[in-house]
Amino acid sequence: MPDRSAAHGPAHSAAHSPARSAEHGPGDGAGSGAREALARAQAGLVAALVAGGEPPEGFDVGRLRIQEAALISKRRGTVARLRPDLCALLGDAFAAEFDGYARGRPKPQGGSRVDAQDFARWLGEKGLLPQEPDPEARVDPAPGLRSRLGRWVSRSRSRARGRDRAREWGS
Amino acid sequence: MSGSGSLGVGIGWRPEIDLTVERLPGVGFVEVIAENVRPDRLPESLRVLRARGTPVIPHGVGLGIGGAEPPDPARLAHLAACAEALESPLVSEHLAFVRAGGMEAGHLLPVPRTRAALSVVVDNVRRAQEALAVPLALENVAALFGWPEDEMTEAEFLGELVEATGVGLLIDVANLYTNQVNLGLDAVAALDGLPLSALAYVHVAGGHSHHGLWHDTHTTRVPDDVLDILSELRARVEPPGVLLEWDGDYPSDAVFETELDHIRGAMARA
Amino acid sequence: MGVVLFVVAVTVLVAVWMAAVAVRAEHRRVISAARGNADASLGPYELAYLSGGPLRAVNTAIGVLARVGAVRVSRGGQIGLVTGALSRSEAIEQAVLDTLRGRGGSCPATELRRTVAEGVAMDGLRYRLLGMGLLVPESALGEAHRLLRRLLTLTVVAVVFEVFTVLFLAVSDTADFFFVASAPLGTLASLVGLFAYLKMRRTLRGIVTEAGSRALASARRVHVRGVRSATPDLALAVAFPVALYGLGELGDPVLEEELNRANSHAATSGSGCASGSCGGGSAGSSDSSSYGGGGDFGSGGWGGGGDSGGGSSCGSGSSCGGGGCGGGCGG
Repeated sequence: MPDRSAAHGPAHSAAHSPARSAEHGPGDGAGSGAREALARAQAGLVAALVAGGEPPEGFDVGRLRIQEAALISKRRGTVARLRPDLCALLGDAFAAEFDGYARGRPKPQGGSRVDAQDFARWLGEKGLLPQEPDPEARVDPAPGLRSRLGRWVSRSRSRARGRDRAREWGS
Repeated sequence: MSGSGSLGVGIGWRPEIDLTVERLPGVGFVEVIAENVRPDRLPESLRVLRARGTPVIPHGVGLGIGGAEPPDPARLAHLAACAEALESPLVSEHLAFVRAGGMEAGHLLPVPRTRAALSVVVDNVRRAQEALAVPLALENVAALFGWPEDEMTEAEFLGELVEATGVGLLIDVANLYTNQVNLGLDAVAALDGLPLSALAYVHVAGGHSHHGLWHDTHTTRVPDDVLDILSELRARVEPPGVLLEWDGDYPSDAVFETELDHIRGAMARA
Repeated sequence: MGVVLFVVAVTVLVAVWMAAVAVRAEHRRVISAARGNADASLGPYELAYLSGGPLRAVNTAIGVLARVGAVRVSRGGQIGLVTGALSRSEAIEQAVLDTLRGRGGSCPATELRRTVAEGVAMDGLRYRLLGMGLLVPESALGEAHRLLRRLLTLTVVAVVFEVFTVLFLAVSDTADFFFVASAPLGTLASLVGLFAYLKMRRTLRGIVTEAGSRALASARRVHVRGVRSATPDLALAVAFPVALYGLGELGDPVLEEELNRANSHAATSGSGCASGSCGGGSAGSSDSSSYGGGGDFGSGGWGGGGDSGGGSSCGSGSSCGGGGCGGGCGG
């Protein structure tokens, strides 16, 4: 059990805490001051957790590091599920490479799929990918049309395959 | 909120185990991750469950009602649409924030438990309640760290929130256990502090211990310690429903059945 | 001119007919020429292969594995590996588990069937059946394939002839009997050729020898269709019935329907296992991504089986996903 004393913080840091700077009771609605202070405090924490920012004062830094690792691990698990090909390609190095990619880099807008694409591109730039990258990982100039087309093509393909394969011989 | 004991024992519906959930005996209700469904194109499995009369509760994970920004109207509209399409008795979310400063945390992070933050969350909850046609319940989260400026316990914070807004309570006993292991916050004491009269339903899940910390992964059997907290809760109040969460590394149908039985056993033990 | 055309039409028809008969005769000759042991005691997978080919063998394995709780079928025909599934002694069953593991734990049934049907375990099964003389080796089919190609060529000639005849009839206003009569003959020749070609091409795909057919028939006398023994013996309850008669004998109509469904999840995820990334495979992530793709709701990142909670990073078992345990907490 790691030392908890820091998590509950020395009193002096709490006194200067931004989240506390605006005093509002629960009854009088959220003043913009309270929202701004909370925004600053939360942004500082998130930056420390996902963007390599300095840990805000008063936090248990050890625990923030563990949380940071947990968040990366969670992203890694999802990317591994989305791209088993990268998993197979990198083998045991997958975890280390992903951590190298993700540390200090927030999860991109667009979610896990974009995260997986960015990781593949990052690997490509490091020269760790073979020549023909997965078509899904390409940077797409017209993502809407292209993905809709792609989906249509793969759907008809899979339908055709389904028809073909559903048939067993002689029965 | 639904009447006492009306939901029974349930399980989190996931696409990977849809047929399993449909076939498990004695499932009283299910929960679906709201962000993963389209109200206008409900998965067949959920339609089957609804046709059978099984209640389906949309469970949001991306609203971030504990954030500094007012809750996103589009996300609220989505939750409302899910509840309408599924004819849900209520909607649930987390007392947490998930993004700040333009960055997604990718996780449910604890809110600083200060009076100032409470005023923001109260306002956020009221906005959410206005946007929803059904009651909202908020879940206590597990944390690896606390805010240095915390002035209240989570139970006190939730108590004030319930009093100010009438929001329902979704108690995750696995999260209480997590906080007990990781932060030394006594789970039973937390139960005593929580406004149990507002209890909507309960979450139960398994996790892993790693380097002395508990990770609430939702990928293993529910440990006895967590079930004991459920029994403690049951000794204080009859929960309207108890739901098993499982999110990956799905075991066989037989294991799910056993786990639900364990939950029923823990409820009967109290 | 009309008479000449008519003679050509008759000739083409006769040639197509004879070519079709020749392929059939060769097929008969091949299956009766092979020496095989009809009395060999065959397991469910041998029988499945003889009865319905490699795909039937995979279906049998999926049926058995689903029944023992080693794989899970979900709606849309997605098949997932059940955590804690034990190794199987049957090679085809183990191949199904290995394939799923290689695809990150889940895969559309269509894709799974194709992969296992083309895999080494299936080769092993095929060689065993060839060795027992129950299956006709590809090498013995050279002549049959040559005859099949001839049938195809003649069918093409018939079609071309037909097209020209019809075109000519359309532009000229001839009422010559022979001329007009050539058209239906050409049609007949084209249809006979096409039909015979498609049928024989399928027939020649996996050929069971006479001994194989006899072995199959005797197994079907032992395991009668629709008579499900109340035994807990998995082989008798699931493996033999599915092997001999198909997924309909699984005794589980919902599972049967999902397994037969041309896969929709695979389609929406656009993953295509063929490219080597059977990713997205999980229905959850595909759903959420196609939704999140709009950018309005859900970053999509919350998808993937609903990470409301910890994220399954801890001990996921795979060398990639797991690694440092660090599952979060929360939900």
